[in-house]
Amino acid sequence: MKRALSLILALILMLSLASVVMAEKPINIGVVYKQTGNPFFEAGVRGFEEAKGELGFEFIHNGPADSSNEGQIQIIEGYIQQGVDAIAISANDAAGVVSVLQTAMDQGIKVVSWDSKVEPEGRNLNIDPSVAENIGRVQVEEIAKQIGGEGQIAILSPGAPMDNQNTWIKYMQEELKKPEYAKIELVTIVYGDDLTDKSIQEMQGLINSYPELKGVISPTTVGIAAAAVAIKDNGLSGKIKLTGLGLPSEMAEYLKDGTCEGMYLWNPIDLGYTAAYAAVALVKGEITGAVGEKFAAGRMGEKEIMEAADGGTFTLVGDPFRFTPDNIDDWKDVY
Amino acid sequence: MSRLTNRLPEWLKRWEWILVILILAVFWVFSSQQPDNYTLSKLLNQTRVYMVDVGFMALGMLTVLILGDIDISVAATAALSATVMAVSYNQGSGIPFEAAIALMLITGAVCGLINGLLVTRFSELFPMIITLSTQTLYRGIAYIILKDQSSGRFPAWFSKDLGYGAMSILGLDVPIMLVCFLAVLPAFYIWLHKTASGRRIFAAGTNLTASRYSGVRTGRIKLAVFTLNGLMAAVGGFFLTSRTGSVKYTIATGFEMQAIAIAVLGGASTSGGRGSVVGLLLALVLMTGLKNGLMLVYNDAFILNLSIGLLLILIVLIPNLTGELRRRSAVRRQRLSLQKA
Repeated sequence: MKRALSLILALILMLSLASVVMAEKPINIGVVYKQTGNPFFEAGVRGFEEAKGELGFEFIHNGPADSSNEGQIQIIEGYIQQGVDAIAISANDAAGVVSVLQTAMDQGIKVVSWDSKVEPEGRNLNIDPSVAENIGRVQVEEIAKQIGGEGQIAILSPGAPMDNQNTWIKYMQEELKKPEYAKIELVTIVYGDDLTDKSIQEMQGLINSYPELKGVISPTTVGIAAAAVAIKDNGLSGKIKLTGLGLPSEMAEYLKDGTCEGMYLWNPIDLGYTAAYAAVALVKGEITGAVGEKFAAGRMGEKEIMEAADGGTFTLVGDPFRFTPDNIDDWKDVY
Repeated sequence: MSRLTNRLPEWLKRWEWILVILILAVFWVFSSQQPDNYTLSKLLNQTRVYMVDVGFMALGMLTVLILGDIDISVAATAALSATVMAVSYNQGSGIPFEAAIALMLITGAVCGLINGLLVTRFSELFPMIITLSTQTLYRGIAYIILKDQSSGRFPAWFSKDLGYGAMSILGLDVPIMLVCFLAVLPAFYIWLHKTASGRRIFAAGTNLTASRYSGVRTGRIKLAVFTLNGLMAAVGGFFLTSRTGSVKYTIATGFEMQAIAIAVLGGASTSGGRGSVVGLLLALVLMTGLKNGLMLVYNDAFILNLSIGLLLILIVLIPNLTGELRRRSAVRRQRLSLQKA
């Protein structure tokens, strides 16, 4: 009896194994993000889900509870153990995961970084939300449109040592030199250190010192929210225009009451979606991550791989996403 | 007293058997759930994630716990030592990497020595409070040195061969860092359990005052043990850095709790006088098997933390419960014999 039973069990096991071997194994992507429970990355995972529906791959996703580099390494080692085909990571420390990702690549696993890059030695391709030049340009275009092409504007930035913002502001100043912006005058740049209180004070100072001020650009999520508070408290909503980079959840109120007519940020869903398409193209061998290659990224269109400033390669998701009073309801609960 | 010392080794033996049974249970459960991924060779690979760096820190912590003290600052010590190594190597001052490693070990030992001095000089303060303060101090210094930057680009033998290299032993690929750890263990075992200086630590932890009156220099022992603990923290940080390949001031955050948990799980008592190197190794194997299995099955950081927390509570409860049961049955037996009389 026992022997018959074990024979049957063995047969079932062999059959199930055979069916596994016969069915083509779907591509499996291991997604790593900076931390668990962050709405931005939950939205990013939705991008992977959308791409999964179109391409038919499998993916697992995880991030450390404490935003640590060690936690990400632990997750990556787990993915290598499970034999994933590709890893798509938003890195907490660009250099800190290079070694472990190199061992992954040695085993044939393709590596894509998205949102926050991995150093070039540890990746096949980086998916950048947008280039600095575009981020600077769209904000100038937006404020010019809002103030009608002429008048005084100011910039509220987080602080002197912020690399990202300084680069964007440099491109804003370049953009403002163009003839179509000749009637716009950038009167000053103030720094709120990405502290809400200080940013509100600095905005109040701008309102007091420049009675002719028509518009403000704040390329930081803390700054734009603080500026909105100050403008609204002074009853100047609509009189001093505001744009910049803002979180939809924090800015929904001000977009709806007219304090801010339009602002930007990258769209994590598009980011995840493009990263998924890139990972699948790498696994299928359609691309290798070299400069000049192109791959189709579904609704995002065709993406070209370019040389990155850090010596690796990257592709762009697109221009930052524009949030307006009309579309903010779709996004305010997303991130 | 003689009854207690007679029962102690027996209890320890039994505790280690409980760990062995738990290990077998964990391995059986997960290997039946994940037969392709939960294999010996793949688990050996995972030891570098769950076993080695924490293991070195736990060894140091074990000696401190046997003394009846505790050191919360080990993770911060590891972070500061790693920072010193990375910055001295990368600052363009021409310091060779080997010298940077020496600096790292010295930094760890000095951090431990400072803890030891504070603990022995201010005996009215709890070691937990003192090391809680030095923890923020050490990590604070690491932050001042590095700010929010990360520092890396170490030689390949370090971040490639040591961090991810393996050597073939009996047909299995064993991570080199695991070999290093397993080589240090016997030394600790012999020192703690078989030599006079090791026994003095147990004696001082069992009864500090009695040991002092019987001529044991308890102050010196404490200083030495805390210094050793700082050194072991730096060694743990050394192996951790070989895996990450870069250092940020946040490196090793939370490792002190893991080190304490491993030592306690291995049979050490936070009230001193008890602890075992063999138990520590078994606890490490158990944690590695459990964490890796949970990672494979659930792939969720929170479930991992939650299950480890539950396990630790259980582990602390088991000896308490069995002790309570034994006491009750002893009382009952006494009552019965009294009634008969």
